[in-house]
Amino acid sequence: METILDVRNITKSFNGLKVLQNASFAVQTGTVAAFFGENGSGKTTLFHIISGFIKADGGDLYYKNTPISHPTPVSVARLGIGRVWQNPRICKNLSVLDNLLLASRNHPGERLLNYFVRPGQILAAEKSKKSRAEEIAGETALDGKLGQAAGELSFGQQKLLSIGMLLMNEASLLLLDEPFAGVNAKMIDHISEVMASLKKQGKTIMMIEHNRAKASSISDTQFFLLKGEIMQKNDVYS
Amino acid sequence: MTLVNTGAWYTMNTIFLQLAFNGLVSGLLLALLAAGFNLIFNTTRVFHIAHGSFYVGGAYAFYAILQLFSNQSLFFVLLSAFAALLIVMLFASMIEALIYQPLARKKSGQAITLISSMGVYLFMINGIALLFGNETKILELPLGGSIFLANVAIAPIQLVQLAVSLIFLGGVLFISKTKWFLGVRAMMSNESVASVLGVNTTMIRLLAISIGSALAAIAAILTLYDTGVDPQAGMAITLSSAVAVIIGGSLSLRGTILASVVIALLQTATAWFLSSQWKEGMTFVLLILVFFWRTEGIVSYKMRVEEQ
Amino acid sequence: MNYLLHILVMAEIYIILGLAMNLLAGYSGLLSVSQAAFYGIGAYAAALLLVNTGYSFPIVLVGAIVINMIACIPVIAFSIRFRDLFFVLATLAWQVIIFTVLYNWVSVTNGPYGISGIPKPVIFGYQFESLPQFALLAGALCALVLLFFYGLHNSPLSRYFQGVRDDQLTMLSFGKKPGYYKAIAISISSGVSAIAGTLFACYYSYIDPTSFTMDESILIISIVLIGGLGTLRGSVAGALFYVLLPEVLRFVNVPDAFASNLRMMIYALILILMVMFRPYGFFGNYRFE
Repeated sequence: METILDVRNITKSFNGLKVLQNASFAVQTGTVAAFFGENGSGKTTLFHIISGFIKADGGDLYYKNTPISHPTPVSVARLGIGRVWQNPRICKNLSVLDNLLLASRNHPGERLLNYFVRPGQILAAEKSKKSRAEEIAGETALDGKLGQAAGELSFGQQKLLSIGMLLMNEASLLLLDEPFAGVNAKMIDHISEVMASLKKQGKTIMMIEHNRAKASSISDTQFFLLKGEIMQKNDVYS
Repeated sequence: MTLVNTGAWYTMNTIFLQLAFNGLVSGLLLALLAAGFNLIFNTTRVFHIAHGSFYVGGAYAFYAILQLFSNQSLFFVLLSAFAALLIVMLFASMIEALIYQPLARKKSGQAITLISSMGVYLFMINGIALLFGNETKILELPLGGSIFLANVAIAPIQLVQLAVSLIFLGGVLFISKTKWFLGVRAMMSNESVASVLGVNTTMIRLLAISIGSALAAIAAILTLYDTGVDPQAGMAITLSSAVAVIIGGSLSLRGTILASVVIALLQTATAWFLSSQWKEGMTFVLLILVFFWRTEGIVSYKMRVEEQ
Repeated sequence: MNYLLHILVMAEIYIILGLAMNLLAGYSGLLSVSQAAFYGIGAYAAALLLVNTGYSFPIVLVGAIVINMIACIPVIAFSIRFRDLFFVLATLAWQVIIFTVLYNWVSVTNGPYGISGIPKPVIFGYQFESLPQFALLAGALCALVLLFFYGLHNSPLSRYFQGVRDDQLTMLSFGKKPGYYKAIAISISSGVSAIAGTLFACYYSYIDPTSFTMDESILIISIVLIGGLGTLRGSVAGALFYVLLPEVLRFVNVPDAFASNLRMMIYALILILMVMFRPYGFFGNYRFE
């Protein structure tokens, strides 16, 4: 099996307080990895570092065996690492369809120059991205809601939408921050179904979760964060 | 202030001293205004564009009341100043109670309160122009000519400005160091905590906005005896004091006062070496430099990530 | 009749300015206070080109637009890192600096005396001399601008502007740079404002810096806020409302000396009431929070 993300000796402290200490682990392509730990154990900080929103004090990140030298949110996203926030971040005044289209990767309409040079390509892309968005809406059970403003969706649906947006963005490594928090039991099953189908498509998922039972049942690897250090489940028992 | 341009002592050194003194005096006046802006901004989170209109309002109220009396002895001047301050505080409280307070209750963000403040500014400035006309109002201080100290010309009004602004700035600084104020400020940063702890935020907001506006009115009355005040002066006043608050670090009152003096020195030097019309532009060039110098610190997305 | 046409020309100019502002405030969520600066640079660029070079109107118009888009590069440079209050401050700085330059750069702008003798537009030998002709020309340009914004509204680009407005972090985490779209929005807004500036300069055949003050910027902001953010008809309605308001005052016989002040007071009052009780304005689909 191939390693998609290799994290080596990541260290981070805020105001002298060590949040992560020599965190090292690897995630294999096509697996689901769950991260557990108390509040303040550094899980979210770890996700922030991987997705480029916070700079680590030391350590290296390797994505598909190439080092990410200066991770920024934009460069990391362009590599194919996507992120769903704990409180889903969507554009609440835009429709569901527009949110999906907004996230789509390499839409020629996102560059100003293309409007002058290849307007035809933009129209064609708009059409094909639209049908892809409809497909994804089907996968994430948002099909009836394409025209609705994203802000009017329920909390769980907003989480599904942000997963859908990652798919539009063609992310291959998905970082989900507490996908099951704050949603009802039905929606939890729903989201885990979506995650299972993503895994089948060959996507890799890293998730932070407090619901340990649920997360253990759908994950292949489990990591525990304790005072900024990372242990894999097998290490705990051995 | 004009420089007396005769005699052998007219040297670069003297000009430098004179500019420094003039800058210091107008810096302290600006500090009064900026301290008011700071007080309002930190208590209510309203970016108070209308601050300048209270400045103009204070000057015109004082002018109008003083005209009612036949003589302008110190007693009547103080009486008029007192009345003008009361009027300004009353108006400020009305604005707070009718506009800012309801908006705050609706949890409106800074953009909304800023826009409503623009509305207040337009309303007040045009109201003042309607009542009193657009021309500059100016008063003469019946205190004789300038005195000279180490070849620096000091006008009597400058001494008054120096003394009054030092007294009031000292008062504000003193209050801001009291335990009571620090406690209130800590709680104001989180309004729900404050109301749980039984702090009357409504009252404190009212107090802050009326004291802040009164400080602006004091500066306006002092300027009335110097270069005069016209309705259009309001915006320049708001802008300079806002820049002083931002440059000084928006939480620190001492920073605001220091920044005010720096800005006034820059403006005085600009007026002398270029022309007084460049003053505002220079203030904002300074602001932009501060934006670049402080780089990421102010509102970068990184800070907001950590709030998540 | 002439008076009605004058109102029409003013409405056309303010519709253009309102639409330019709406792109920033309504679509991109950027409360720009430098719209009057854009407007002023456009007016001065057109006036100077017309007076000094004698180029024909279409060339001058395009020239003014291009000059405006170049002239907004500094404000882009120091404002795109920000939004909210600090964006306001950055654009405010630009507004004040531009006004100072227009006022003091006497050798080019003639300072407080302004530029006079700006010729009326001539297009391919046809002179737009009389008021009806000018109103027609302004109407045509206004319609073009409306058409342009209608196209922009329906293009994918508008989605990215709205993404910047709703959530910049989302944009970043999908690999889109918010700054890029802010820069585009600001330069389009600046370029479109140049059209209004050109019309203004030709219409009055005299300009001076006092038409492009901070107060004018506030006025343009209030036009789009009262009309409603995020829709084209909102900006049009806001501009019409602003231009037609003095006509109402006419009926109540306000002396001319008070008219302009009274009009601004009523207008400011309406702005405050709108912000408090009708935050979407007449036709808005977005509001500041």
